[in-house]
Amino acid sequence: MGADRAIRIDAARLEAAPLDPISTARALGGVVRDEAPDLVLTGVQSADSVQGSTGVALAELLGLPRVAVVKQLDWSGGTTATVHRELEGGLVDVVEVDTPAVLTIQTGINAPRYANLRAIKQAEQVEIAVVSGEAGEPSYRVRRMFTPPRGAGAEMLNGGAASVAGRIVEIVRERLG
Amino acid sequence: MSDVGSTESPRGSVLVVAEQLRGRVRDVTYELISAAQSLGGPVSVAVIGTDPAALDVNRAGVDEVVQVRVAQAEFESDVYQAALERLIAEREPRVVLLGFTVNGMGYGPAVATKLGLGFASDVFAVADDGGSIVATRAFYGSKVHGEVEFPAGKPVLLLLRPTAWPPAEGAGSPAVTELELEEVTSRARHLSFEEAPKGDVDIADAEFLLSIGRGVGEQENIELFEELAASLGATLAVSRPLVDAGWMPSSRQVGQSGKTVKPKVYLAFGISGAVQHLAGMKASETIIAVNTDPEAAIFDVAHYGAVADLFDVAEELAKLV
Repeated sequence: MGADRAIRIDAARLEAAPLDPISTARALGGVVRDEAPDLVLTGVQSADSVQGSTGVALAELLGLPRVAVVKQLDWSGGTTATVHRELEGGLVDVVEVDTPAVLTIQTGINAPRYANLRAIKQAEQVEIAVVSGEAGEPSYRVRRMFTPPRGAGAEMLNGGAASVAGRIVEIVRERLG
Repeated sequence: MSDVGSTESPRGSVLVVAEQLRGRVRDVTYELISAAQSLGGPVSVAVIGTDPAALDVNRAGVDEVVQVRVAQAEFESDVYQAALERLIAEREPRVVLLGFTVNGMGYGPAVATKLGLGFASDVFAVADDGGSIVATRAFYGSKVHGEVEFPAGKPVLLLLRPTAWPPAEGAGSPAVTELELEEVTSRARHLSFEEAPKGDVDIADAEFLLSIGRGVGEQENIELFEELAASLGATLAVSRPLVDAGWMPSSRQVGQSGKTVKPKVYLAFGISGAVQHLAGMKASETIIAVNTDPEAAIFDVAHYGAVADLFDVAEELAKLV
């Protein structure tokens, strides 16, 4: 998708359980410090754990300014960038940030540049560097996991699409009066 | 630091940091206060701004309000971090509560990292279990919930999920403390706000929303649901992925970064129920959800659910209206 290099970071504790976001940031920190980039872009949150915290924790470890939940970025390589922070309700906070900086990027900021077959084949030839990352002590431990009761409060409509549609129409008419 | 009230600064308290925007306290603040009260012990609320005294955070059960005066009127990450670090150093709270919001995410993890605090985010339940804080959050795309505990001997900083606690009500008679913060060099500076674009309709005004999500699959399929909405007398709304894809304008988006809606009927087709989506629609009077995945989180908030193919149900609905 346009990356020139890739680095895989192996953290010992990863084998046991997913890391908490501060541990993840520590594992990333050494490599990012060595790379010394002008901008560090992370996602806002992972789809599985939804912590929304790794990028900002990473910025703290690197001593860098940071802006979370960015949906527009204007930067021409100078010492500041102008970014749009997407607040609740869609309000935009326009922020000027000193660079180097860490930005956590919100979905929808760009159309992904999907690779064509030739680029995929080329990418397969590229060697991915592997380094180890030090995650340090966790900021939480999972004590117990459980499956939440799913749909406990919902009355399930059964009997095929026609029957479901019929019930939906009834419910809607009843509720709208 | 000057004490306006005469109480000593409470130790082992629960500290809430208020959220404010353009001179108004945001609702999540009152939800954080409710959560703080449920943990027991003194509750302190810090309010940060150019005129913190003008911001109302006095609710029943609040023992202390700390007014932190800063030069920046709006949220800036470095300013909030400096203020919170000072508050933690001075009052040694056992728990610090921030919102799992764009602002909270913007500085909370940095403070926890720097001070080596216990930390978890998107927490929707919290308890004091014999002196240890236990927080509950979701893992693996909300398929699993987990209780997490924290290293001993350190404060715990939690980002709490908005709308998970009821807002605190009433008014108390808290001690008021003022805290003057030395000037903070802010490396990410607020310039201006830009309003979300107004759409052709306000989905927050609709009594009946037909809301579609990723399950519609292709952009070409949206027209089908526009027609279905029209014949049902519903207003069409969408979840975030359809806006991100550029298929629908953001004015139609339900959820934390879109609109919060409370229609009489919310009919959800192909919406799995991401946390941010649920926060924007779970207060709807009647929620009907159609999804092929029986494990979809939307069924947790639905009053009526159907595990079915949305196109089949849409086709049958079209025949009936």
